[in-house]
Amino acid sequence: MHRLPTWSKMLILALLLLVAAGFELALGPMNIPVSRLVPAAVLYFHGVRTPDAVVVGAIRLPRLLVAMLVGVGLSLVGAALQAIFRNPMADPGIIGVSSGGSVGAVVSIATGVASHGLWVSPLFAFFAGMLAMFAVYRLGTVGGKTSIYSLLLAGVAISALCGSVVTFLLSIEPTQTMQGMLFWIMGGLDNSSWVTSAMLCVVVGVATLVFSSCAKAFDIMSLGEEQAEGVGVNLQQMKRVTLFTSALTVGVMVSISGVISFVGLIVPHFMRMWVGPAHRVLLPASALGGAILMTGADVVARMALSPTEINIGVITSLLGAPFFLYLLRRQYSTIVRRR
Amino acid sequence: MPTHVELCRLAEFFDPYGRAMANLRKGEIVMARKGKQITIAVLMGAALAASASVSGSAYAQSHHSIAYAKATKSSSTVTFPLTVTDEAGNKVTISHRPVRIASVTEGTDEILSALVPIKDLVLVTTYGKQPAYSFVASKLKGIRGISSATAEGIIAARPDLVFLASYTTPGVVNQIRQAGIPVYELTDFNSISQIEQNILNVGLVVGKEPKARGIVAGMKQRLRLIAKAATSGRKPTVMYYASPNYVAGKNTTMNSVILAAGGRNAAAAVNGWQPETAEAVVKQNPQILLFSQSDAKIAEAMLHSPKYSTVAAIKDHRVFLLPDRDTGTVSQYIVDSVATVAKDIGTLKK
Repeated sequence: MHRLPTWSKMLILALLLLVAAGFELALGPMNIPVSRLVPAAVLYFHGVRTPDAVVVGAIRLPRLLVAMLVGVGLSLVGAALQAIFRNPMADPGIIGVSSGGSVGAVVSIATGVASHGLWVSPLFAFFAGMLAMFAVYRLGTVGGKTSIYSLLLAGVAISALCGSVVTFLLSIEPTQTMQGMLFWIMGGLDNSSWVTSAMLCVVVGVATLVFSSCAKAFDIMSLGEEQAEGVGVNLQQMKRVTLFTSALTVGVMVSISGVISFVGLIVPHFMRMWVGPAHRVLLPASALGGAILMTGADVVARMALSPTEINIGVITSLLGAPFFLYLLRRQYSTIVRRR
Repeated sequence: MPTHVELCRLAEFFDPYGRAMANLRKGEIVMARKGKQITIAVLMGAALAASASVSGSAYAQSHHSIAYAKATKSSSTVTFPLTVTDEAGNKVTISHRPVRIASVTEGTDEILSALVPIKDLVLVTTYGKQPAYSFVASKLKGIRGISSATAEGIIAARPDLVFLASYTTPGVVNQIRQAGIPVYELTDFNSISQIEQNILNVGLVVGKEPKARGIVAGMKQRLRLIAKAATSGRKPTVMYYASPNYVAGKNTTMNSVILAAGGRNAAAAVNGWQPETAEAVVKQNPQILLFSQSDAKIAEAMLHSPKYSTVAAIKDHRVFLLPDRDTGTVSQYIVDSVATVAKDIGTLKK
C-alpha cells in the first residue's frame, strides 16, 4: 500500500467517496430503487413534488452535500491546525471554536431569542465561536508572540469553560428544550438543506483556497518556528490567518451540524501516515478522507436504527476513538521496534 | 355516530372530575374538622365503589382492565402503619397517614393535589407551580418548590413521605431513606393505564384509596365517552413531533393519548422518544401533525420546508399546537390532553 504512487492513492480515496456517496443516496427509510434515483432528482429540479422526488432532491442530496462539506472542512481545519501547532493532537475543538459555537447556540435557545428566526442560532454559534477563538488567541499571545503551548492550554481552559456553561444551561432548562440543545453537543445533519449546503460551500471553499496557498509554509513550519522564520515565513500572520479561517469554517459548521468530534483529529493523522506529511498532498487527501468518513458515518447514523436517527457525533466518536488509539499504538510500537 | 345526548355528556366532562369530585372534597374537609376521617373514608368508599363497579364493567374488555382489577382487590380502607411495595420493588413502611408530603415529580404534584388537602403538601416541583406546565399551578402557590431532586433539599422540607421518580439518582433515594423518611418511587408514566395505576398506588399510600379510585373511574368514563364519539369515522394517522427532531413512538404517553383520542400513531414503528430523519417523516406520511406550543417555530419551519411538502398533514395544513401542560402531563389530566387531541384530529367535534 505504502508504495502506491500518490495519484493512485487519491484515486482510491475518490472511489471510496463515490461508494460512500452512493450508499448515502440509495439508502433510507423510503425504499427508492437505485434506477429511480436520478429521474427522481431531475423531477425535483423541475418542480415536481412527489414523495420520491422530494426525498432525493430535498432530503438526501443536500444531506450528502452537507456531510461531505463538513467532512472536508473539519479535516482541512484539523490538518492546518496540526501544522501550525506542530502537534498531531490539535483539532478544531482545541482552539475553542467548537465549544464556543455550541455555547452560542445553546444561549440563543435558553434565552428564547432562537425563536425569532431559524438563522438566529447559527449566527450566535458563529459569533460565540469567533469570540472563544479570539479569547484563546489573546490568552496564548504574550508580548506579541503566540506561543503554541500557551495557546493549546488556553484552548483547553476555554473549552472547559464553554463546556460548563453549556452543562449549566442544560441543567436549568425544561426537558423539551434540552432535547433541542443536545443537537448542538452531539451533532446531526437533519438540518441540511440547499441553503445550508450553499453556506458551507462558501466557507469550505474559502478554507480550501487559504489553506492550499499556505501548504508550503505549513511544510516549513513543521521543521520548527525558528527554522520557519529563518526562511522568511511570517509566523504571526500565518497563525492569525489560519486561526481566523478555522474559526470561520468551524463556527459555520457547528451552527449547521452541531459539534462533530474526532473527524478533524483522526483524518489528517491517518492521511499523514498514508500519503506522507507534505501538505500539497496531505490537504487534498485529508479533504477526501474527511468527506468519506462523514458520509460513511451518516449512512450508519441514519440506517443502523432506522427510522430512528443516531446523532452523527456519536458515530464519528465510536469509529474515531478506537481507530485513533489503534493508530497511536501502532505508531508507538513502530518507534519502539526501530530503537 | 355519537348521539346528541352523548356529546352533551361529553361536554359536561370538560370540567375535569366535575361537581361530584368537588362535593367529595368539600365533604371530606368538613368531616376532617370533626375528626372523623375513618368514617368518611368508609362512606366515600361505599359511594365510589358503586360508580367504580358500573364503569369497571364497561372496561372489562379494554386494556385498562388488568391494572384496574389489581386495584379493586385491595380493601377500600387503609390502616397505618402500612407496608407496601413501591413501583421500583422496594418495601416502604409508612407509620401514619402522611400529612407532610414531598412530591418531587410533576405527575405526583397533580395527582396529590386532587387526593390530599393542599396543606399536607410541603414540597412540590417548580414545574408543578408554573401554569404553562401544570394544571394545578394555582393550587400549589405558596408551597416550596424544588427544581431537581437533591437529598438535602427534600430532607429540609421535613416530609413524612416522599414521592420520587425512578430516574432520580439512586444515591439521593438512599440518603433520604437513611434519614428515616419513607420514599415511594414511581417507575412508569408511559401510558394512560400506567398513569391510572400510579394514581391508585399514590392513593393507597396517602390513605386516600377510595378517592383515587373515584378519580380513575372518572378518567375511564371520560375516555369511554371520547372513544365512543371517536369510533365513527376512519382513524387518522397522527404524529407528535418535538424539537429538534424527536417523535413519540410506542410506549410514550403521547402514543397512548393519540390512540385514546381515536387516532393511529404514524410513528408506531419507533419505540419511545426517538430522533427521526425528515425522510422517515415523509415515509410515515402522517395525516395530522401535533406539536407542543413551545415548538411552534419548528412547526412553522416544517410547514414551509420543501422537505415535508408531500406529507399529508403539511399539504392539508392539519398541524396543531397543543398547550405545553397537555403534552407533559402524566396525571388524571391526561384525559384533558386526550380530549384536546381528539378535537384537533377531528374525531371529536369542537
